[in-house]
Amino acid sequence: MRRILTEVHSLALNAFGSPTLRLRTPLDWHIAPGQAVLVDLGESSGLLSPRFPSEIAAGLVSVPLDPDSSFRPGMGLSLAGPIGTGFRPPPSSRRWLLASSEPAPVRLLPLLSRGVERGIEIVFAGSQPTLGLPPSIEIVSSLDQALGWADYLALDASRQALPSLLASLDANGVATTALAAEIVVGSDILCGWGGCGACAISTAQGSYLACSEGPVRPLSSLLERRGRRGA
Amino acid sequence: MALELSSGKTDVRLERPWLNLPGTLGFSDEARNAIDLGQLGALVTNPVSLAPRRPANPPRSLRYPGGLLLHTGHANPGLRRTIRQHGSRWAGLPVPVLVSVLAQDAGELGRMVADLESIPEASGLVLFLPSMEGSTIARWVEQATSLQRPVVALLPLGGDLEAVLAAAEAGAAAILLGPPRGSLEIDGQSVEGRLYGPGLFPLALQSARELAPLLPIPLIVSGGIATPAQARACLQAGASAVGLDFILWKDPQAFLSDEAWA
Repeated sequence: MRRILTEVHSLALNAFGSPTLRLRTPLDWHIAPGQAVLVDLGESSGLLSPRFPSEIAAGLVSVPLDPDSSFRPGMGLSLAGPIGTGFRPPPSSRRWLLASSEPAPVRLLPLLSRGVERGIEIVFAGSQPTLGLPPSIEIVSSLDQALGWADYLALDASRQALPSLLASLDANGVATTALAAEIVVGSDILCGWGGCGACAISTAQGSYLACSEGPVRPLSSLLERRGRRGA
Repeated sequence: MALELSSGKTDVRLERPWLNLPGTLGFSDEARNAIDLGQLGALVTNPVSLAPRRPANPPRSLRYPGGLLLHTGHANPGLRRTIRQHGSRWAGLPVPVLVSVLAQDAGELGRMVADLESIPEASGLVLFLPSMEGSTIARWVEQATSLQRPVVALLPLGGDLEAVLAAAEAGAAAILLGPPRGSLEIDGQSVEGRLYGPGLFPLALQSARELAPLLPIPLIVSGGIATPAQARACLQAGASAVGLDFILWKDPQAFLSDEAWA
């Protein structure tokens, strides 16, 4: 994790119509899809705000912004990151299935953009209507419809939705397939290095720290442990 | 500006009069890529219990104007596993390590003290003293001091004077005033936890002024201290050192760097 001073490039709306802050970043600062940052957005709590970027480009990163913020282009603000590990789709994968428990899966947007740039076939599965995705992306209503087709699965869940998501994946038999699969779970990150314990994600079999042992995890690390318990 | 913590038999010297609060920097060197740990006076580990503890159920952190309510459950792998995982790293750290001890009762405390006897890398203890009567506090401190290493009694900022005096008279090497507890409502649910953040600083400064003259041992105050100027104010008010919390997460160099103190 590195602390850098950034500058507001512009304010924009992300693919889902939510306000974002586009920040200029040093060219030697790199962040992967799925990794998080801590940004000094002037919170009244005095703390840095954890954010999952919605856009990653060379020298630029976009982070979700509260609607009542008063940032202007050219303003400076500090940022710490990248935090943890990001998505690592197998280089040979060509058919990605992305799914989210959220109506606006911001945490998946950078991965989705990267896939589109590389000409990957992408299907997005969401139980709720998802607007704003590129037209080249096929949208299905459930994972089942594309699990047999995909060679890589990337999931996004809120902490609240994680138990039901894992249960449905168990029911789908994902645990018994050889499909490369990863998951990112939203969490309130405070320190970014595993010091405070605030970002712990609990599953039926244990817990991990989103900042130092995530945010992106192999799905098998959650499902296999669930399987062992049931055995 | 150095601080000596004495057990009567062994002394620990903090070259700088500040340390992190338990629960801020992990169990050993987790923060090494973000913080120069040598810039601390001592490293205080995250709270360690005799048996492993799991994280508390969410929500664990609630932000509010002026600070943060944190309810982590003090998740840790238990004392013996913590020693196995981190004991060798303590030896390699550039500052003394104070192990933060979270016992449920006097019996647990006795077993933890016994386990720590063979761990010289633990230079001293920070003893959690939750809300309890002065006589109980005195017994716990006496029990912990049997380790013959400095025991820092951790009590809540703004808490009971009787408790502070009892810990001091029972042989604590120092008093550390740590995060007070509070509660917030979210979605109709009351969440209790420790309070951190800049909104606590006036209480920290006031506590330094009021308590330091009453104590025969060093007083370490904490609560929203974010700048060298705030630390100096606490030291001038009578504190012997300060405890750091949210600033270590937000911008540690703003406090720890030599430039900040120039």
